[in-house]
Amino acid sequence: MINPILVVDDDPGFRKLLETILAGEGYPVETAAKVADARRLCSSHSFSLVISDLKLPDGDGLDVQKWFAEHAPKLPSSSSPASVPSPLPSMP
Amino acid sequence: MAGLLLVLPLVLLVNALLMLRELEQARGAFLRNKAAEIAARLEQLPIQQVTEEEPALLDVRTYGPSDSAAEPSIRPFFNGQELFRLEESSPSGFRAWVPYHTPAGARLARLDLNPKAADFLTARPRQNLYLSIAVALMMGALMAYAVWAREKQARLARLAELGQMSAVLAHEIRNPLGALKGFLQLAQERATGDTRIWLDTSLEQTGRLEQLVKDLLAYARAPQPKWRVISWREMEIRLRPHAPLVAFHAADFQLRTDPDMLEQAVLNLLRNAIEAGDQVSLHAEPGLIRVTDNGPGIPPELRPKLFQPFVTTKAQGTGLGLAIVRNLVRALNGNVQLTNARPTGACAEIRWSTK
Repeated sequence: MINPILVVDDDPGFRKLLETILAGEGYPVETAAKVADARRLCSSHSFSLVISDLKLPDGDGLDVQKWFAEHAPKLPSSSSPASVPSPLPSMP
Repeated sequence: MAGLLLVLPLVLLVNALLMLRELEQARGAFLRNKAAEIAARLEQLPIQQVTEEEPALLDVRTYGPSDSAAEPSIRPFFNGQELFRLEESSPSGFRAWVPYHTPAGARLARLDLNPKAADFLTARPRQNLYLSIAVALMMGALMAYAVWAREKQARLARLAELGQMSAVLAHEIRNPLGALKGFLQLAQERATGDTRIWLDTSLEQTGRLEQLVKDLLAYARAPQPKWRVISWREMEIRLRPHAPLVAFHAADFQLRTDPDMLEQAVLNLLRNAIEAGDQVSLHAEPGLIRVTDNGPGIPPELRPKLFQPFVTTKAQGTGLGLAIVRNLVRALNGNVQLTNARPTGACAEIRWSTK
């Protein structure tokens, strides 16, 4: 069982789209709408990948990246500019 | 305030006209008096001397009673029926007939006076009149300019509001549209038969909406050029993949521009040309990029508003393409114009200073 992928995006449409695509490929997925939710989820889950939107209501994607870099140093992450999903990095 | 601005010069104008009319009458009186005075002097002095002393007198001729037999028109003077006659239409302008008395008897003088001798009376009011006309014209022009400037200001404010509204709308539409397109693509990948065709069409329509949103954002955003020097070759490499059938005619040269903005402007022109005709060529040289097509050209009724937003002849156009081109080219310190080409087609030119 691999650890889930965390999708952080405040736009519900994009969040659902990414979740659908990734789940369709067989990956377990968790979603968060803002930075605070992502941090909370991190305390209860281990993630194999975090994909985050750059602009979020309580911070930006780089904050998410920085926070995860400090708290889960082995985790790869991707920040997508303005809700446009960037290509998915290869899974660890 | 605006009313006063217009009334004041009108009052000045009417006043100057009335004064001029009064003085025109005084001018006639002055010349009559002058004629009477000259006639009185003829009673005392020889004609020669009077002529020399009076610069306003152009010509003088005198008649005696015996002349009235040959000239019936002067008979009333010798009968005592007429004391003064004026002919203002004579060649010299002012001709007066005045009887006078000499020790030898009654005589008649025909005096041609120079009407200019009385010009000093009307010269200043005439100047005033011209001044009033000039002031009235200037005030009128000023008023017209004020009205025009206010309308322009209002138009610009409306456009700015429209731009802001478009930007907000486009931004709000873009995200849900992206998700919608993503789900449509997912569904399309799994669909078969008719459903797949319907989803194809849905995706095409989403593409149109995407283009509209992109155009609206491009139009509403104030372009901020990032200047750098590039070679024309670099620009051509950027453009060619989007316009494989376009004939490029250009030697390489250097230009200082924002390559992204220039590329977008030229691409919009190329897109129009490609949609209009089947032969499109692009010519470039320092200070000029010209895109020519062999399509039907620009309809005359569209010419005055070509670069206004939302003006289009296409069934599926946003009408923003040329408005965006103009915004971009202006931000790059250039100008763009569209003319009809000969024998047919349209010719779009982007020009900029190379100094």
